[in-house]
Amino acid sequence: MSAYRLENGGYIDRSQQISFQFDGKKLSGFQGDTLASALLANHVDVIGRSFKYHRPRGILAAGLDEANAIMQIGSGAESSPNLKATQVELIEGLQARSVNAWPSLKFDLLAVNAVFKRFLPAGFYYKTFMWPDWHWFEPAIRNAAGLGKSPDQPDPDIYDKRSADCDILVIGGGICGLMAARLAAESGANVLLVEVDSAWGGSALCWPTLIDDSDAASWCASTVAELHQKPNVVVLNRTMAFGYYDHNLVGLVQRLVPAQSDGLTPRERMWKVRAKTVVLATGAFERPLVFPNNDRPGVMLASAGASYVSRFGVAVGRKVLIATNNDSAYESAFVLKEAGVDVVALVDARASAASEVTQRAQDMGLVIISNSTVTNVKGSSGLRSAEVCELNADNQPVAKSRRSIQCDSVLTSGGWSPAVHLFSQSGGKLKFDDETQAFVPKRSVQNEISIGAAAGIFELGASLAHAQDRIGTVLKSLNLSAKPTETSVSKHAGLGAIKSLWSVEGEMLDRPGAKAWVDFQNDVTSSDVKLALRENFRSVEHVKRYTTLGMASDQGKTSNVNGIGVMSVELRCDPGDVGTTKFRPPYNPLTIGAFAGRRVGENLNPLRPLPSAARQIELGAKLEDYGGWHRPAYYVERGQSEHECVSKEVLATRNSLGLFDASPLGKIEVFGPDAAEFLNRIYANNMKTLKVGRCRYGLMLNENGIIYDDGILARIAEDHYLVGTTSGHASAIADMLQEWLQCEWVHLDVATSNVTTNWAVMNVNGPKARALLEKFDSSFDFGAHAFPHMHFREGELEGVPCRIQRVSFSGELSYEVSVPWGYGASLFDNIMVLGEEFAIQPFGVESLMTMRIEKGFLHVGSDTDGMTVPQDVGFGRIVEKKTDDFVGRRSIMRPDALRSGRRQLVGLDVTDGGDALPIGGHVVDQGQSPPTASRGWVTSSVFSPTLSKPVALGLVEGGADRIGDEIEIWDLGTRRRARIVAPGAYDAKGERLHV
Amino acid sequence: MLNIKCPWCGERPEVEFRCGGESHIQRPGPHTEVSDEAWANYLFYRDNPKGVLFERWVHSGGCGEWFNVARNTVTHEILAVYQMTDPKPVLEDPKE
Amino acid sequence: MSRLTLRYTLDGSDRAREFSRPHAKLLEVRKIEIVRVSAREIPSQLDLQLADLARVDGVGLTNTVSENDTVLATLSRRERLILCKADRPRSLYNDVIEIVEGCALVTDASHQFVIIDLSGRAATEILSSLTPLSFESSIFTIGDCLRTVFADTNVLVIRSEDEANYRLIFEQTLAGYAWRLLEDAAKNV
Repeated sequence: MSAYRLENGGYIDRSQQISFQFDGKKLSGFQGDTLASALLANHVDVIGRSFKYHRPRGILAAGLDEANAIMQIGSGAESSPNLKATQVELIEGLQARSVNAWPSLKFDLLAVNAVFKRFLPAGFYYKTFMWPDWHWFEPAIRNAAGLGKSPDQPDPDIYDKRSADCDILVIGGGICGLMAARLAAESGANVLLVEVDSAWGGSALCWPTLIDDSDAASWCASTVAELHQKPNVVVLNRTMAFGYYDHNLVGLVQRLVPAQSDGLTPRERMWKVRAKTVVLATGAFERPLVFPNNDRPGVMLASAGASYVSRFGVAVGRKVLIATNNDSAYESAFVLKEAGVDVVALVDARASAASEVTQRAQDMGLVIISNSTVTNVKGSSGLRSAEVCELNADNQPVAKSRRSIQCDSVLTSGGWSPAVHLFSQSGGKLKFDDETQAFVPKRSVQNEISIGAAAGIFELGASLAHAQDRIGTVLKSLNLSAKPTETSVSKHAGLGAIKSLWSVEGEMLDRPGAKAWVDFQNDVTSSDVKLALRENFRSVEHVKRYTTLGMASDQGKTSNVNGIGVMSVELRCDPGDVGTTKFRPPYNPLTIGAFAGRRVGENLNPLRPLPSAARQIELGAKLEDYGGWHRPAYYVERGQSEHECVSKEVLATRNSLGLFDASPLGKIEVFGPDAAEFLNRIYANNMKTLKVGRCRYGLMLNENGIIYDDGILARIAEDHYLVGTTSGHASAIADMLQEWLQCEWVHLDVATSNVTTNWAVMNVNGPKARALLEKFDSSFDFGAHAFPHMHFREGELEGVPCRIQRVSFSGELSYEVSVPWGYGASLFDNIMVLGEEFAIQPFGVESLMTMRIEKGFLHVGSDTDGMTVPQDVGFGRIVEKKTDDFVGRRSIMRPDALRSGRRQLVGLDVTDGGDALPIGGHVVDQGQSPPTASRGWVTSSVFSPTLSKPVALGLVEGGADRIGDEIEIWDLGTRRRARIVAPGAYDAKGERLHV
Repeated sequence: MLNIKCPWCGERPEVEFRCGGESHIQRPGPHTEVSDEAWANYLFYRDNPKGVLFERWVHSGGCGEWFNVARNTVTHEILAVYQMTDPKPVLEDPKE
Repeated sequence: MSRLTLRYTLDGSDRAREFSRPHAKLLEVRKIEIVRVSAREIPSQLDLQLADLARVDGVGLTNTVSENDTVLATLSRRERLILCKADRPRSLYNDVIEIVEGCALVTDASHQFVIIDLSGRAATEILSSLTPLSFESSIFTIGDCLRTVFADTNVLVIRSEDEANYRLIFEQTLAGYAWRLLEDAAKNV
């Protein structure tokens, strides 16, 4: 009600009117407005309710330090929660909603919390709502808490990324930043200049400045235009530097406007910039004064009041009171006064400001009340008056001296905090400067410099000179140079002689119940900070977490240092001794989309296609993600269940012929005079005895002796092997082999080559497999004696190179036929055509799994876990007979690996007439129910179509010695009965393999 | 994100590499003579200095070569990059 | 007459995949033979012979590219990749086997990769948006090749004669994914 649009002034375009909505109400503003300035211009004072106490709140600041004006912007899939109204550029049709109030801002039922304030101090979460079970209260707390709603549809926008290098990255487009960028550009250095705001100029947008006798706005515009022309400069506004990482890598997020929803234009672009030097021209944040009821709507930062006038042509009130402990607020007062705003009084905590400043104030007719400060404001939805008290020699308010001053807006300045976030993230160390009452950079760790207010220099003339000097040094270190220019700037009040006044407390005024706010967004008061200290949370990190001070979306920009100040008074020490909490990226909240970039949807975890992919779809394959590959689980038949389809595939394969695209199998060639020795060290098996043209099933362990992978090793030639791995481990094992060769066994002469995706593999499976393959024109002799089981052959098939392994996971006659990948699709098709005669049936992963379970073949990761060693799965004798060392050997010699009673892989035969056993069902002692010891569990289980009964495998304690035992299996309240048998229910003798 | 100078490819960002942990660890052997303690040391015990750590890196997204890096665990400054088969370089004590 | 026909991974059709915009162009390149030579350490003598085969002047330890389409890429001290048009009288693979004489592992990698040429004035920007490297900087010049991360996979980048031309070599099962990302980036930069 008190703020209004001035008739003139501001950098807004009054010829372009923009309509928008706030809480359903239609309002209008101008091009160049932010949502905040437009709301103020429309006399909207209350813009939200505070997080905990639901107190009505107004706009506090003009930039990204805003703590109160948290808005929900937009609707549907494009709805964005938690945006600061001061950062939202006003565009036509903007829809904004306040948060944390129900049913409305004006009448908020949840404000009842405020009545119970006494019971809701800091840390109350840890003390209340705990008994009898905190889980009961959590949903209610969650519903009452939270600002804004997440959209419930996928983000429709595009996000881009960019990697960039540069010589000099200038962060901050205020006067100092622009000056630095200009100098750097002149030297020929590659420069990247970024500014988070849409407009350039920084503090010049708040306190009008003359640079070389022209106004700052035009100076900035022409400087930026100049920089845009230079080929060695990249200029980005609306770009925030959010994080400073190792070795001078800085993360930026660039906002691209106007926003398009064309599915092509990115909404944001994340830059990762590696800079030789970083120039931090990030400015500083004004601190509010801390006093009772300082959170009321109408209380704002002094420089924000000036910004709204200078940049947006908005007066924050009709009767403005300004309270300060430093000279800068005078400058803000001058701005208001010159725009015709009524400044009722300037309350200075000190005896006086600098003489020129005081003189100017007097010349303007400003009423100055010295040695005083604001101690209260009245009016919860519309500020009515402020209470002012004198300060005594101890800096305490004198209650007796209190007087009430009518006003509808209070602007405060408690000092300035340099924006040292990025500096600190880089590892730089801070010190508390007594003269400026600010944390300033002390010691750099990486290659960066701070200039301007970010360096703790609050007077423009001085900071420009300092900046020029520092840039000169930077350029010199890069073997470059540029001539600094003589630039004149108009004189502003700097900080002056600031007097620290960390807080005014209710107790000091005989009003112990009155609260003074430190963190507005998280509703943290000075008494909360003192409570934390009383409860012995004395480290600044503990105080932060106990009170949640600085943990809201404004990340403490207006509250952290005040909190440290309050702590320092209470602990009777210097703020420098309290220190700051650790600064972590991001500097300001940013979207998750910016991190995701283009890796969303099908581009997040891309699935790799089989060579026969096109045909799979035609055949009705149900394709699923198996270790990153798109593979058929089974082939869909209309009207048939998955089990029926799988059964059909299994029976067809076992009875005649099946086809499986096995291309994802890992294939790594290992070559060299030491290849045999090397592979013998990699596998648990003795691989030295593997002859040329033969295959051997091997286990690979990790150094803990745990089974890591299993597969077929084939010996192609004397010094040449083909390592087969599971599809999921192909890359990892290729890497692992090189790691051993490069790091440990550096003298072994071995070369490796990962050829997994060079060779397509078609698994021809079933009694008719040989007959099928003999139909092809090839160099292979498929006769049973020429090509026995577990043999490897190389040759040509239909004129293309071909490798064949006669190995079987199904238990039937089986060949893995490899051809160069480009021929894989054609090979699959030809096999299908030639196989028609044998009623060939393509089968999927589920069928393969069914067949291998019927055979009792283990699957690493299903039948083994992070504890399973070779002797647990029947490999004990193989390992025992091998005398050589291998990866994991020493680990399987330790007592725990050798003890009896270990879980061992066995078969499980169902004896209760029921269906397949539940995978994961626990083996329990007879008649026992939980809580009871688990004696193992079911690891694999199917209803075998071949044997028409359930077949399962399991890891059971001492299982190898319990063959024949009856056991019970407990799973989610059901009890089953089974008998322990040797693994391998189907064709235990392997007669069907050796045909 | 560290900037690491691969001995073969030059300076590349950390995302192209994989860290292999502490370097200069020799695999104990022969396996028949290694005590439980020595083996457990090899498997599980690693230095965790506040200061210079000698560690292995592999340029998995580039040339695939393994090499050694001397890195300050506090400041992440890389003090030396040397070949896998080279001995530990002698470095000056890093100041705080 | 062989029963088996060749089918390209990226696009099963007869025509090489293409995508064109005024500022960026993608073109799938077919019929390139690729041979990998792996050893514990490639002997310099072998390097000279391979360079001769690829007709490259002056062999160093850095990646090298020759004038014609033949490329001898030094991926590491253990690995060489040789690429050439598949129109030679004798296959590159057989030529290399002969030169190597069993002292290194030779594998035919022709089916393992998909080659995509990226050109246009936005090509450098596009590459810089999908890899962690800034291709703007001068460390990567004409005649260079390097291998880096490309989103969820890797890419071997070869810079041929033209300033704005990059030959991108992807592992073939993720080439479709790489193409989608390149096309998205090319649609709007």
